[in-house]
Amino acid sequence: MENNETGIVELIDRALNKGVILSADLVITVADVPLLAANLKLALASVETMLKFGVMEDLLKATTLEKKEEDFLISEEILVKE
Amino acid sequence: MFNNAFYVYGVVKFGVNLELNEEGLTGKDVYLINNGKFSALVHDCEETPYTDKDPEKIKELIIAHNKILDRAMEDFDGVIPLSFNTIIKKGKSSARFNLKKWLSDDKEKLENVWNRVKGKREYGIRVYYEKDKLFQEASANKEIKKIEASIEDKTRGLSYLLQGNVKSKKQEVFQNKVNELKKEFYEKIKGAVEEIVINPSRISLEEEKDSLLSLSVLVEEKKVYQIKEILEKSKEKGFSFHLAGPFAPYSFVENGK
Repeated sequence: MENNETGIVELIDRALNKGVILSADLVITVADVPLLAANLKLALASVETMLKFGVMEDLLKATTLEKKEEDFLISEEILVKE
Repeated sequence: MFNNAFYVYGVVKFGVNLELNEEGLTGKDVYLINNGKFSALVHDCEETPYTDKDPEKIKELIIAHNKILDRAMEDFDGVIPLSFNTIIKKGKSSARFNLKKWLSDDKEKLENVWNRVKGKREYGIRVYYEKDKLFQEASANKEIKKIEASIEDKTRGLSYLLQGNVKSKKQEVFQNKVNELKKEFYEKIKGAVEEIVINPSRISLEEEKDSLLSLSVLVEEKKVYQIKEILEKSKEKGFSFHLAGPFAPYSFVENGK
């Protein structure tokens, strides 16, 4: 992987949210560790300093973008059906 | 003595136990634990998730996780990545027993996933467009121009109503154009890759521009040039993009599909 900021943002997003997830009875459940969850959010925010976002601005923007993508996902489903 | 737990990076189709001679998270020695056709890339650890108060340290941990997956992709022609911080614990049985049982119980799922991702890499593509430019283009629509022209000789009340019509028409034309561009771009990329997933965008990488699309694609390394060609051509139409990767195929292994 290219070790640049863009690549790292993309990597963090994948490593935290994707990949094989094992059943909870086999693994330590990370969601039970609030400190970890909070710090990971900060990790994401920190790699975005290159964008000169404040943390709150970032969260607001993320919410907006997520909504936009949801809209597209719906339109994409329609495309597939067509 | 039984290990307390195993941090698991990923799984490869390789039927023997092996030292990887690579340092994983916090310098731990990474090795393979085999059961049948598949081996898990692991290091010994405690039953405690990896974290740190310093976000930079967490970033380093994630990069270390990925380094092992990169190495596996090179050495074993593929890897099934697990999410960061996957730690197999002991229960009534040892952690080793639990790990091997998982490899055995899920061997069919793993086989399906392996066949899907073997020899392939994941790339992230984010496409952006210039909102103002596109809105201006949409505003040049003939129908809109016609309504605008008709406003001039109307009474104040009617003019107000028509201006409202113009505004909503502009928005409609603009949105249709955006959807058309998304479809066009998606179809072009889809034709050049093995698989494609639309990502919900959590992060914008260019605040001055609007995100059109965020994709994860699964592609053979030798075909990446085709994606690059499509992206280069798209620049001529006013798009910009980020191409990130190669990554382990995180987006194509969920739920053992």
